[in-house]
Amino acid sequence: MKSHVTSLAGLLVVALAAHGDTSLPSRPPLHPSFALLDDQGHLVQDSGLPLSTIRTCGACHDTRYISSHSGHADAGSSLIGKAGTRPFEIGPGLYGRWDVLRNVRISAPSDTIIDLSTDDWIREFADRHVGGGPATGNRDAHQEAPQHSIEMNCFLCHASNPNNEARILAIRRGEWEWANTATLLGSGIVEKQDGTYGWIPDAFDKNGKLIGMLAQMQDPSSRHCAQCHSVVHQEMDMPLTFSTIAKDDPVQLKGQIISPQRISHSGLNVANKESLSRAFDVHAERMLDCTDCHFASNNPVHQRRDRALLPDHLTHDPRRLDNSAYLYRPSHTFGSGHQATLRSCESCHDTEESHDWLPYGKRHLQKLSCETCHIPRLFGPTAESIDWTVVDTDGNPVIAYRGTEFGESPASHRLNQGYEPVWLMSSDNGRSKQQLAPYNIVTTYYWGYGELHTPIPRRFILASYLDDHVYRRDIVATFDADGDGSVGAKELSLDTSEKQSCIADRLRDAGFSDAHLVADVQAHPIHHGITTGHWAIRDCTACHSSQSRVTQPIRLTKQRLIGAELVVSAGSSTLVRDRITDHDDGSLWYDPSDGSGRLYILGHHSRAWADWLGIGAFAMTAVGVFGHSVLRYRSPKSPATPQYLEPYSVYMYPFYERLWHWLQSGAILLLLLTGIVVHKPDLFAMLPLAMVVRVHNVLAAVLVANAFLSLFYHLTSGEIKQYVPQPRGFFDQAISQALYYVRGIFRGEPHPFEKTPQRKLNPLQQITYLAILNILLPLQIVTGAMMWGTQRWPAWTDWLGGLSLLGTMHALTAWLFATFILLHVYLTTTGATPLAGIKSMMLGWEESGNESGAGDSKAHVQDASVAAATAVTHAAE
Amino acid sequence: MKRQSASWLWGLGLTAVLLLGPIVYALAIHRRPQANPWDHVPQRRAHVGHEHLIEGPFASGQDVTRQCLRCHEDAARQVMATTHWTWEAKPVKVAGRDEPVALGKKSAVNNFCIGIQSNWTKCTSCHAGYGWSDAEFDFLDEHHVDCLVCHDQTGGYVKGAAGEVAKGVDLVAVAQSVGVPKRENCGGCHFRGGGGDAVKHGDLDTSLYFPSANLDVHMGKFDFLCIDCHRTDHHVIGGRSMTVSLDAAGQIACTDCHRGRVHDDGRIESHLSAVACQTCHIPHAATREATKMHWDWSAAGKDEPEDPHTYLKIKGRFVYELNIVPEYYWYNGTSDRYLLGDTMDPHTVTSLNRPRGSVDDPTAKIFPFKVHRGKQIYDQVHNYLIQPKTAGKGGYWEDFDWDQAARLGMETVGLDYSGQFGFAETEMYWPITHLVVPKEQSLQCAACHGEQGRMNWQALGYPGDPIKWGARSSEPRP
Repeated sequence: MKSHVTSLAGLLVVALAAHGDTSLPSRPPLHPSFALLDDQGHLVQDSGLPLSTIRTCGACHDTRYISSHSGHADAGSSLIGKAGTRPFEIGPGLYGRWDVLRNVRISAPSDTIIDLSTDDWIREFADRHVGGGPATGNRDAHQEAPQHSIEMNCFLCHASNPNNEARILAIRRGEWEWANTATLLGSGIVEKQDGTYGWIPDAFDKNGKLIGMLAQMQDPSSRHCAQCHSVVHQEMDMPLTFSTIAKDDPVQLKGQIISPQRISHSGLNVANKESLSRAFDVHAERMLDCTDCHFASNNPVHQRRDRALLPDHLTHDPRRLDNSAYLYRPSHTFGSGHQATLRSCESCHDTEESHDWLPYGKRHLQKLSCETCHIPRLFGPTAESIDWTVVDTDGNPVIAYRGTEFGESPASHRLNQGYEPVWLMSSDNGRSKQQLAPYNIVTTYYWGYGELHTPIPRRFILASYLDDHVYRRDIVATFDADGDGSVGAKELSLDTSEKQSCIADRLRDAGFSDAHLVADVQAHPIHHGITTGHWAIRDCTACHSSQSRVTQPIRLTKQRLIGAELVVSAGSSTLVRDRITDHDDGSLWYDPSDGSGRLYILGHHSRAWADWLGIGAFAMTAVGVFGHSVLRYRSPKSPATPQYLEPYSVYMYPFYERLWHWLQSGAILLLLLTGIVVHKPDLFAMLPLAMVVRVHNVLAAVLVANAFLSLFYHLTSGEIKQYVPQPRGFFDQAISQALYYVRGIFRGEPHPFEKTPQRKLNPLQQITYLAILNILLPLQIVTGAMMWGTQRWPAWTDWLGGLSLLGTMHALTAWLFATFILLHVYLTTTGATPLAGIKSMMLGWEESGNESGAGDSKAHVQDASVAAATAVTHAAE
Repeated sequence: MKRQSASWLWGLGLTAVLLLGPIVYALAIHRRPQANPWDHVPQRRAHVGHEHLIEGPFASGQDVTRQCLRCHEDAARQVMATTHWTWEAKPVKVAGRDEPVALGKKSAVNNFCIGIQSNWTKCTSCHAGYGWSDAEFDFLDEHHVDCLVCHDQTGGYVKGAAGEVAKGVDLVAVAQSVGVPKRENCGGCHFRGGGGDAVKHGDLDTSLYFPSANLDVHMGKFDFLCIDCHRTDHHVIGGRSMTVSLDAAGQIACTDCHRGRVHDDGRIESHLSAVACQTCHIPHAATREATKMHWDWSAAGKDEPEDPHTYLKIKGRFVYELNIVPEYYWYNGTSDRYLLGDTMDPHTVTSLNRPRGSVDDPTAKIFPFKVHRGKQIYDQVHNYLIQPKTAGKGGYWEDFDWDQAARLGMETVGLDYSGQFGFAETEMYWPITHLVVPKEQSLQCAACHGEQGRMNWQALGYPGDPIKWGARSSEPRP
């Protein structure tokens, strides 16, 4: 222990000295030289034995702590027994789950048919596993002859130029004890000649330590991570291509490419490439390394504490490990989606500030993960379906890729359109909220057995088809539809019952009496391939329209396999089997529209019945008004008893009453117009939706303010009385008013009630306004305000039935308002002259005139003074 | 009635204000004002066709000028006030020198053909005048002004020795064609600086006659002319070349049109305090035509195989490079200048026009340069650069005698020549400011930052890559 402290102190001195120097190299040679030790603690150059990373690095670092605190070493082996995403899986980790790209899995101890033993697994996943964990732990029941263990390989991630290929080869060849040593092949420390490893004496100094630069260790760069993970391409001048993608590279489940290179500058055959001048991943472009977000959880630079665990008065806890303690015991549990240690978008980005342009920004941020808009399209090779029911002569499944014309691999010259991920509700996004998040859905066809649809191990499938990389004769006989003597790409599919039973028979012979076809559907969350706001989805109508991105279905497979049992494993998403639909052309689709059913998207969702009800009310009123006006026009203009011998004017509406009336009219009219745009954006695609929404909200505020001011006016001035029906004789009066409209008006009879400044409203108007002011207007204001307030008080909105109910009510009420306005405007023409009502509301003075003027076509003349003159003429007659 | 009508309009107005006012306000606060660069691009004026105004015949270029001046009375006087005529700027005060200094092509020394003095007839073929063949040229004679070199639209106008009209030019056709200067007029001299296509500048060459958008976004995509940026007022053409200028008066800049906030991305915008536009938007220079990067005069005079891009007996050895990555230095718009007669240290590299500015100079920005390096003749006793006579009788190109060329040249400029000469290393900075590429091809972060970045941060005065060490403003300085 003491020696650790001394060497670390020395290390810090080096660091401080280096800081004082102004001519620093880009990466200070901080790591001191060290000796390579074998597992007995002897110098390897003396013993000639393989190096032990636990011993070598353990001279300064607590390698036992590191290897026992590493998700990479553990690979899920400590999670064995916890539920995987499929019932036959024995754990959720790499060591435990079924790998759809390889069609292998670690077998449960209880299995009678073994797929992979631990040793098999180590060999199979040599390219994905760093050693340690299952490679050093106790072997399970299926252990073969005991192998050497493989220690966690520090050099794979910390040496400047690790030789991963040699390491993988050593493991696959069974040279397990040399696997970690092989990582240093080619670095001048160790060489391999005639199959034997030999340490190069020149690599060591007289103290037995590695000389100078050979001892350089570093923080893992993205290049290191890329050895096993996805496509990380750091070269700016080397156009990115897919030539190096392995057939079982997990990039194919998602299509994420992590590269600073502009898509337009890549070597991919991407459609409209010239216009895609964005980088594949903006964080790679901005020079973030993988470890900037996926950092060692106790790294004092990055360490994050859960805010919930801090006392209220603190936002930051500065107490953390000092560098030497961290370097002694660096935790190798890197952030992942399940841990608070991962940087999520919000831990670096102020999302509210940067989305102030977005109406209802908070609401969007509540319901959408950042990735949803900021990963608009992916261009990596992405599997749509993986068909393991057949294999090619190399033992590979048939993979159909997204975004390519014929489903072929994008590595070929085919045009790559990229693909848009499907949006599913997710609860596991590194966040606590339920949000829409982007996914790829992969359908894997395979041969299963048993009730759990356990995959029949790959070796049995291969044996059913192949005899030393050549199709068996009976396979060719059954599959060769065109009779050319070979099985072509189009014939390699279990599309006939003959083919299916041919393979089923073989598998039955191999001991799988209930071999059956299974279609495994699984969603894979997408977090990388982020782009800036400029390239993100920012057009409102991308979602707020009938063709909403939110509900856009995704194809699962172009040609579904008849007879395959459909099994859905949801994982973190809300993938549900019910939403998988069959199309007539044989394709399978996933329609997420109800999987995200908790959302009511304005402009996309609407209740048709509410619209039809509203349109019906409006249309019937329009027909009624039209019919009534025609009857009025054609009715005999028999001069009725003139009520007033001389025309006269009454000051009917004071200035304020006129002002609030017209302000309200204007607001309602514009609200209806903007409202219909928000309701059905598809019909008004030329209008900028975000602006219309803003205008609508402002108008609503004007309307509400105006309504309250006028209420105040009516209350204080006592004019409110106008609106309150007198109980006595009200019904009789209402009936006589109604009779006037259906009968009297056509006969030129006078209004049953004289309109006076003291009594401006007839009984029917009173009851109408009572309904409008007490039901319709409050309802519209409340529903509208709560829709607006959904981002501020979501709980209240939900309590009121959510946007789904509020939106429907708001739309229906809007239709009723439109209906009212139509009727209202028409009824203003039933005054002394057709324009008398409007004129009085404009000028304040109501002209009272000869009733015979009503219905006179001449009185429809636009000019008010002419109309007045006409009325006067009639009066004179 | 009339009174009532008025009140109605008044009410309508008030209603409209109450209704629309809040809307306008709400939309205004959500709109980010984006400056439109096109607002600042000058409108081109229609030019009057001269084909029916001019008859000829003309015996000489001067005759044409006389004809021009009949209508454009002030034109020659205007031109004569510009550096296109004088090849010398107004005297300016320069730090470290007692007297104000007037500099221009007339007297400057470079590390290409070194200087025009004693070599006029060759060099002045690009002078906007006729007959500058020696030190006695009359700069006050209006009729020596060459209108046609800038205004010819036939493309058939060629100048020869001392700027005189070359034989065979149809002066009538040329004079009748005159119009607003096009790229060909400017490019005829400026694309061929140094005596050949692309030799000097690295960002100006004949590829700009028919540029693609990817070569130069302004000229290629938007069909700009030189004078759209180099705006001209009374024949004073905007812009200064740091290779022959001591100050930056009249300089033009990207920001003449691209004003205000130019990048959506805040991270990129934050670079503007330290990085010139050209740095990111001109990733490479000499993208189509190779430019001269090195010229070793000391190798001249040998009978080696000749190739205008590698070796000429009269000039020495050259290195040309295509698609160069510029070098980056702080630049505040002015430069130090080596003047004839200044002493220099022959054992170090003499900078003829080192850009001024440093990490501590808040007005300086990191700017891309082509640096032309070479070896040229100097006086071993006086320790200053020699202006040799190269062209013409007795010049080095005729007799390959350095001593004689040095003596004749130094006589002309009026400096002592000791008789002992050697060759010293010099360097010259050429700002890269043309060949702006579409923004989709501008540099990305990793071009400058990170392990493979093209910047030498420590040479620029940073403690390290500012992406990790912080910007210069965040670094405490003594």
